[in-house]
Amino acid sequence: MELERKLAILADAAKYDASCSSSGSKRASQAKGAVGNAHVSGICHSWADDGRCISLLKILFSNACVYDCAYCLNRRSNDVPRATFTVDEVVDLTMGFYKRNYIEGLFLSSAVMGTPDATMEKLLEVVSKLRLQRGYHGYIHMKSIPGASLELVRRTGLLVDRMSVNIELPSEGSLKVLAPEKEKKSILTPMAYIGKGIREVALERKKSLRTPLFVPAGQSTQLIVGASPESDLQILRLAEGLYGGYNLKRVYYSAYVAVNRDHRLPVPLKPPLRREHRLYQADWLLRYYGFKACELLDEGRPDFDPLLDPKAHWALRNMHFFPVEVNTADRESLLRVPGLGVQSVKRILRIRRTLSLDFETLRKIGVVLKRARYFLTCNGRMYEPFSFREGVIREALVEPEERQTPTGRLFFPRLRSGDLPLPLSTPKGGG
Amino acid sequence: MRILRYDGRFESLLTLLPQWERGERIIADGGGPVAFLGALERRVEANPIEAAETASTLRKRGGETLFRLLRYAFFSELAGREEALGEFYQAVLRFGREADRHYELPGVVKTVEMAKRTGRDVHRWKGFLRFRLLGDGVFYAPFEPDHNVLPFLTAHFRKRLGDQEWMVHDLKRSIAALCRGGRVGYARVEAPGWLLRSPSLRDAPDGFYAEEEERFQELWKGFFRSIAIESRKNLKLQRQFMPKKYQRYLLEKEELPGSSPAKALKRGFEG
Repeated sequence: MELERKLAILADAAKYDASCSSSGSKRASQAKGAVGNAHVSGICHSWADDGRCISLLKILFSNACVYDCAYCLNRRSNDVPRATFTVDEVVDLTMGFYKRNYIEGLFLSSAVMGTPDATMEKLLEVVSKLRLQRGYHGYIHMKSIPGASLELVRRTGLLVDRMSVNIELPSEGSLKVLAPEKEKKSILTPMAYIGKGIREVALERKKSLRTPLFVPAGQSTQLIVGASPESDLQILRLAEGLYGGYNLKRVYYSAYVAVNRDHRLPVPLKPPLRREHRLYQADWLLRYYGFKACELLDEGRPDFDPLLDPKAHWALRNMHFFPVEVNTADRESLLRVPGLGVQSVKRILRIRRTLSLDFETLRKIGVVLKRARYFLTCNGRMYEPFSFREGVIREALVEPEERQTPTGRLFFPRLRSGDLPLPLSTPKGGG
Repeated sequence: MRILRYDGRFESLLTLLPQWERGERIIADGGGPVAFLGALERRVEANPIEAAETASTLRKRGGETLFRLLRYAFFSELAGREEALGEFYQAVLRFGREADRHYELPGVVKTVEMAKRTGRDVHRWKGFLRFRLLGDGVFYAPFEPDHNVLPFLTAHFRKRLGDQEWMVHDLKRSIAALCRGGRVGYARVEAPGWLLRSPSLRDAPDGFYAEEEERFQELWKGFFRSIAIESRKNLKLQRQFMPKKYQRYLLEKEELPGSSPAKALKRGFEG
């Protein structure tokens, strides 16, 4: 098969993986013949027609899978064109693309060919060749194949920048139904192992910089949103646990795209993009804004309001917290103001040591007041006299065109637990 | 009115900054009217020793961060930058590392804003630059940045591309940076007319690009098409991140051959 054709098939097969980040790693070499470095802040090189950034050559090594997961395009029982790269093909593509500045690095994953160990060995062969023979020092993100031996995971971790094990579905129950060949254990064991390795190496490197790097850009995972009945609260709690307990750098959320017809799956007309977006916003609140999952949602309201971002959603239910005084409030309080981001807060804290801030100065230093103005005072003064009531502010925060569709979910029917058709027999083709 | 003239180079500006007084205008050669009626004019020539002193004062008083800010602001090439930098320089002398907090000074606000614009341009081009392998083995990237970002990009690619021989060419300003064996040199380089009309491979004369170049470009375009999810298509979002002005140099956004007969025809007439 021609390389063009292979690349088309194996890029197409990899595109549902949401991870694109190339940040968090600093790797460089001045050695003769060496090429590449990893840029701490990450660089996007292009944006695809779906508006997602392209920073890595994101491909599967092979899409010839022995598994049969319900949500996956590459499942065994699907009739799709199959292809498998050779090690040299992937190495040459990566080098050729990298030298031309098309990409920031390689994202390598694969369907399970034969056994998890055999698959993982192939991937390891690719990264070994890049790093050790071709002097490649650019970014590499490699998937850890669930079920592969921890020794292979360890050897990979010493060569790549980031590893990830996809958790795929937000609960064990859903995993059993939709991905019967994957076990919770085969996902969490390597994740815990990588997390432990990262922690240990970080400690060792404090003592000696000679300690070899181990997954320096951290590990991430991905879960599919909208293929199973979990609420936003359940998903967010899971993410919180992963950040806390497994040292994860990122959790990616992927709106379920109906690639398969399967009686175990809902049939959304469009992927639940709005919901995915809200989860990402909430994820940021967990990682950078000091929020807890239980503050953002509760059992009474386990899902986000499609019309409001999670922070505004929280603010409107906690009006007693506002208004916040720009000139005296601490960092934590400022971070809770809708419309103020980490950068704006940093700037406010820095500049107010010199100047007393009013709304005009805030605007000058680049703080966007569109939403923040309802929740702030400058030296006791509000932006404009208005009634400080939840209903009024809510009305002001929702974009006019949004008000047309009061449910916001008109096009994204979501199934709740009761709606999910339970499989009566063993799922088709399942092991 | 009093006017200071200089040749427009960074080194000359550093020579000039300590001499500047509030109210004076600074005009770079070719950057303003040739003469002002009744104005008092003075010319300042670059003095490497004085320039180095200014740089060291700035670094000592304001730290590396503020010196970098000033450099970024200068290379934005935005109108009125010199007077803003004059005010910024005085703010650094007065307030040290905290100068950039003084938003009550218009020159400080403007400097921060200009530096931000250059920074954004630098970051974008770090991603958008596309190297093409020439017939003689040099990786060549033509581009047209809004601001004069070449010096900043050079530092980035020197670290990244190692021993590889490469050239980044600012077509708007006709300056190129050439890197050979890890060492960088700058030169004035005029691009041939066909290249200015279209950087595309198919408009180049035979032998200009290396033979393998077309294959890699085709592979990249194929990858670009395959990686998009059809049901999430969002061209508006794509344009937001990749504004039109950058797309001319992005191989993946080149129209497919024959997709626009009107343009092809026009090219035919011009060529």
